[in-house]
Amino acid sequence: MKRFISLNGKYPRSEALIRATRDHERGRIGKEELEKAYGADYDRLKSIQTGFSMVSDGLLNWQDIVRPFAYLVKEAQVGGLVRYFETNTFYRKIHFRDTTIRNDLDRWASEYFRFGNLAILPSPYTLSRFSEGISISRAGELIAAAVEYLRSNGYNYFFLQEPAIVYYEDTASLEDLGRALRSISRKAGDAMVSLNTYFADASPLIRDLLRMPVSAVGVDFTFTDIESLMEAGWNSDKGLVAGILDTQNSLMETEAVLSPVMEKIETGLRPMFLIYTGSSDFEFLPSSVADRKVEILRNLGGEI
Amino acid sequence: MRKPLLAHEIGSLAKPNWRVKAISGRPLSDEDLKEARRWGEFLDVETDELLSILGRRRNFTREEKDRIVYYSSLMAVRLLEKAGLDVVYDGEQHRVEMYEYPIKRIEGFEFYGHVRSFDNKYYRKAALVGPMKLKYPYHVEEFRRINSFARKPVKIPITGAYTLVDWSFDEYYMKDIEIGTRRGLERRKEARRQFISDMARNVIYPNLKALYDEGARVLQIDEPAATTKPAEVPDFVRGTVESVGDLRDRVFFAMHICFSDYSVLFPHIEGLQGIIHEMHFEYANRDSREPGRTERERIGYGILKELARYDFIVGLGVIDVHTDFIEPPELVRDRILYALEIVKDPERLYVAPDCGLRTRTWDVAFQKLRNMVEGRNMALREIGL
Repeated sequence: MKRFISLNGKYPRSEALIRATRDHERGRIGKEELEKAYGADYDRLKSIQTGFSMVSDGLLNWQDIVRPFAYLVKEAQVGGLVRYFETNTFYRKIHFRDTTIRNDLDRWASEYFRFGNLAILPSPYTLSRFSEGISISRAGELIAAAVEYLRSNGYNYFFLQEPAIVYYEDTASLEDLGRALRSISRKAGDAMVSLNTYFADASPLIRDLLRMPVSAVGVDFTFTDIESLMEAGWNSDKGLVAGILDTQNSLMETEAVLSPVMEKIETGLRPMFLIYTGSSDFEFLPSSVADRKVEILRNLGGEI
Repeated sequence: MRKPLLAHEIGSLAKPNWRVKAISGRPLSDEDLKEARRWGEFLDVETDELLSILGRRRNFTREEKDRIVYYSSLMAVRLLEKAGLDVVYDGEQHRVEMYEYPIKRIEGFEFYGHVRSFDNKYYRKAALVGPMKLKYPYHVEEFRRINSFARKPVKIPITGAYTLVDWSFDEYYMKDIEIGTRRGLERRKEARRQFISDMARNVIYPNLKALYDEGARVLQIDEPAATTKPAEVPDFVRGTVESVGDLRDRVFFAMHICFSDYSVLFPHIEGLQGIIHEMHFEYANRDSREPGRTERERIGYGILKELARYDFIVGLGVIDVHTDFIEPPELVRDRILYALEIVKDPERLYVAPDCGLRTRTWDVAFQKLRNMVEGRNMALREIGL
């Protein structure tokens, strides 16, 4: 079984970049200086992922997991703040008016996908659920267009972030989600596409998730018991994106904590391939803490 | 503390520029001094000493900074008094904000850096890394000072146990808990409960007790995180009961919860009856600006029907703190009278803004509060009180 490691979701900005974004907002520095600060953080991110098979830009300039899609379409309004699940963070609801894709996909992609070969995007259900005026199916088409463009520009790994479907246990929407994912996977061709769940126990929906037309499914093991996945029956040709580092707590996972989990996952679930990562976005941690957790990942062994 | 339609504030006010710059070491401008003089005159606060200190513009000594904070506190209290409130506070002029300020005064925490709240807004987040111990009751000096010059009863707000826990990392109780097992998941819940309980008993209760011993009789527990994790609402309730302890009959306790999904509080808050006297939520932010007393106009007050079933005094947010729109007194009156139809007893209905007014200028905050009191007075007249 091949084992990899990767970042997950949005990565935290460094303290220097945080200062720069604040200074820019208050008019103390210009766009150029802000870009310089982003550049330094991108270099830092490249460096902490040295040797990784999957490299992400950490979505450093995304305001939240859905916001860039407001700028991909002809007309959408960015609305009020909504709590992001059970965290002390918030996203802004998008009100879609005209979901026709604008003609500058090129410019959009270069703004929101800065480097690497792992693209992290919202999954159709989460994008639709966090917005108004867009169906799961249309959300899937927007994401598919982005995936097609990114695939032809060197991206060969796609994480579709899908916390909402397990959090709300919305079985009624699974069929629509499956159809939307099919259109995305078609555009992704032979690239790896993972449907990443987090913030909730994945086991109640795992059989349905394993039937989805994707290469892998992501599970947050700070909410999900491995045995309940075994009981539900993992038997599948899918890979597993295993969130085994708690990204909502600064406590560093020790070998004594991680070894039994990994062993249970590898011998009990036997996924087609494994990607060890954080339980959700690393952004819930200050950057220095997140960097240390990535070091723990690096030391897990296996291919990276 | 019983009075029909009693009017109070909720916590923060903006800090004047001259106070912010002086404390952070930035030089003051002529405009800043003019502002200090203007507000001093408006609020009948003698400002000779303040202006003489501010006149140095920079490099203030520690004693001078303390005097500057004293004057911002005094002016904030006078502002609320002049607006006509029945209970006052100084709008957090002594504090940085509601998380970092208390956490710095509790042993066992370590700050690691900033995390994003939304957009380009961040907060410094700390982790509990060892046993928790209160260094000293951190609001007593503030109460002593405000109480020395306030002409109305003083209410002191304090960040509640659940919110302090929810906004922190936990490396102490969570240590060595396994991942991906049922036992681990259960132990996580137990660890969380222990963290909340210890915060309540070892930090919040001693603070409240110290304030009580100093003479404070009106205290407000702020719990903006109360509904963040619906499954933990019972833990939040338990933590509040432990925080209040034996003070329940000796102090008037208000609880303030804002910008939340209030529906998840029910029925659990039943357990706070007799512990918390006033339950204050935010409503105006969700309401229409149309005057009127029907459900159609008062769309933001839907949760009242649920809350009114319990025996709390209803703390009614009638002022939206996120906008410079100055609510006309007639709108405030109608919001109150609509609520009174549901609550019935005017002694069970207190009037306040939705939340602290720190994002508004003092000019806007004053006009909003003055209209709030005028609207309250109109409502009182209409019900013959």
